[in-house]
Amino acid sequence: MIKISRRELANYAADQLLAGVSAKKIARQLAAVLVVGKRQNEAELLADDVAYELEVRGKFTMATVTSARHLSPKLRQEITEAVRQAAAVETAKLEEEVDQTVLGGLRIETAAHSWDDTIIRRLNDLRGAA
Amino acid sequence: MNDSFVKFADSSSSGLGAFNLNIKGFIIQLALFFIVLWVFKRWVLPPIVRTLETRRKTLEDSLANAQKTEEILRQTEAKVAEALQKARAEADQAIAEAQTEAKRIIAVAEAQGDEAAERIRKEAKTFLQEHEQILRKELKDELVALVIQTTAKVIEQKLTPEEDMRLIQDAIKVLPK
Repeated sequence: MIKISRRELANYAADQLLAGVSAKKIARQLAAVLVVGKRQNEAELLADDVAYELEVRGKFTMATVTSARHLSPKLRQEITEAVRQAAAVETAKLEEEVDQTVLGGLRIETAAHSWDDTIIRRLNDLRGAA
Repeated sequence: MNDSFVKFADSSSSGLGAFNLNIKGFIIQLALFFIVLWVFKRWVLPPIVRTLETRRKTLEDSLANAQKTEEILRQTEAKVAEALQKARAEADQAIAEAQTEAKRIIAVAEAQGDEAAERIRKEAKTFLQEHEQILRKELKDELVALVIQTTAKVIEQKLTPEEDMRLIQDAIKVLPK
């Protein structure tokens, strides 16, 4: 049996999604390939690869935003727009996480990018410089 | 019988008789003497002579043996003295060599000891320097960690929501467009 690489599967999924095929159908196909190849443990990595492909093709990104406090709706809107421009995609969505250990500031992680402007990162940079 | 003696004495009052010598008895005595002499010479004297000769030879042999023994003793004493002298000389030489060797060994051991001491001193110095550097780094790291921990605590307590929002807006501004 020919083994299809995860990267190839991600490319195929991105192509199909952009062609208008339903996400449910594509998910079933990918799941079938993984199950037949006994690669179920790669499912999460494959999802990340698909997200990466969609982002580098400028279509969509799902950004995880970490801050010390909850974000206001207005601020969420501003961040969404900033992420969309920074990642150069048509659509961006935010997934908010509150983590008080970052102390302050903001950390944004997408499939292909990462920006960290938190206070804890600055302190860690200071520790590394010392 | 007394008469016979008287007659003999009377008849010989002149010549030998003047000496009151009984010629007959004298001749008999003389014959007996020679007989005894002959017997003595024939059977008694030779064993005595032989015995004396044997004793003489034995004495001479003993004397010769004694002289020989004395000579051997003298030679042995000379050899012993020579051997003792030689042994003494060899012992003196051995002692001198041993002393020289001991001095050499001591000198070598001292040199090695000095080298070992110098090496140990250098190793100890290096170890102390490395340990000092490690301790300094650990101290610095701990100090930095303490400062950062304290700073984080202070920021956590002092940072207001408004200031945090301003920080977030600043972060958004630096994102690439």
